Amino acid sequence: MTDAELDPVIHAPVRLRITVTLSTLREGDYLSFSRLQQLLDLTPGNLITHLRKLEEAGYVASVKPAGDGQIRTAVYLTHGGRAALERYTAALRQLLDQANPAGPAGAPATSG
Amino acid sequence: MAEDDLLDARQAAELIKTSADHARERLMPSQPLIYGAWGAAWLIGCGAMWLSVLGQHPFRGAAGWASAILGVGIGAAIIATGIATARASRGIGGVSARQGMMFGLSWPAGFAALFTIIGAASHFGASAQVMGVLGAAGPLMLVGLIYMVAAAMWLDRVMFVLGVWSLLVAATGAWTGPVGVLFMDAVAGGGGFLVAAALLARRARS
Repeated sequence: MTDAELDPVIHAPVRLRITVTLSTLREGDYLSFSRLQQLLDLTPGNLITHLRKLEEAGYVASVKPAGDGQIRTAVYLTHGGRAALERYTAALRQLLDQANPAGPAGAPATSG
Repeated sequence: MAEDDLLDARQAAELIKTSADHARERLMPSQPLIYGAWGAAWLIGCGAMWLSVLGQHPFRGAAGWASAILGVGIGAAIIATGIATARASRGIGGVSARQGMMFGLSWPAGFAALFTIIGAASHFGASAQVMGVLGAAGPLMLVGLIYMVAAAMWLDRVMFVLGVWSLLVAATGAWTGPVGVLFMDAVAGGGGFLVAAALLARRARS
């Protein structure tokens, strides 16, 4: 019906929260698996399941930093992941505008 | 919320906003807390030193008890900054971690050099007045310079303004003499940090 298709990889509560959380990091940074798990309040198994889907889509990549004793496994949003989140937010805004053409757009920007 | 629940667009937009706010709040050290701790340390510490030199003729320098108050204040501010930063940055690696480490090292390195130079000035016969001016204006100048450079690195406008302000207060304060410069450090220097802390705290709540 519209060209505002919501990316099904991102359009799920847990994966949306993972993607948005990782998007607040600066490019070139990564976040440890355990800190991400704690921030999102998820079980390790649940987080791994959703991270795998995001990794399969190429949106998230993982690293094992060699020189960092405190971080064993870390993840970050790839360029493709950032672009996908931007497309997703734009599509969302379009949907909300269509649903409520008179009012101002309800979808907030993802980048700050 | 089960993970396969279908989100409607409005819920998704809500989730984006709350997740981003939640992440930023926890992944960045609280600036109101850090600026507030340093503002209080300067206001109370330099204020005490100023009170201890008020009415000295000739000027001899701040009393030991006043320097001790400043020392305790600075120690507390260092601890508060360290805890806030370590908590927020736990688990974050990469570019920011390396930048943060170099930024952190610039403080002890800069102050070690500054106090070595001030020591040399004393060794080569600087008067109590000159020592008073250097000891009070020098540290604030160093703070201003590091803040301006760090603001350039992080594109932080409030930090940049605080840096410019600190340089201005240090330079004008030096010309008010060894007594006046302590008052300037306390009220304009410490006060500037407290104003920034209050403004940022209000912005974070709204």
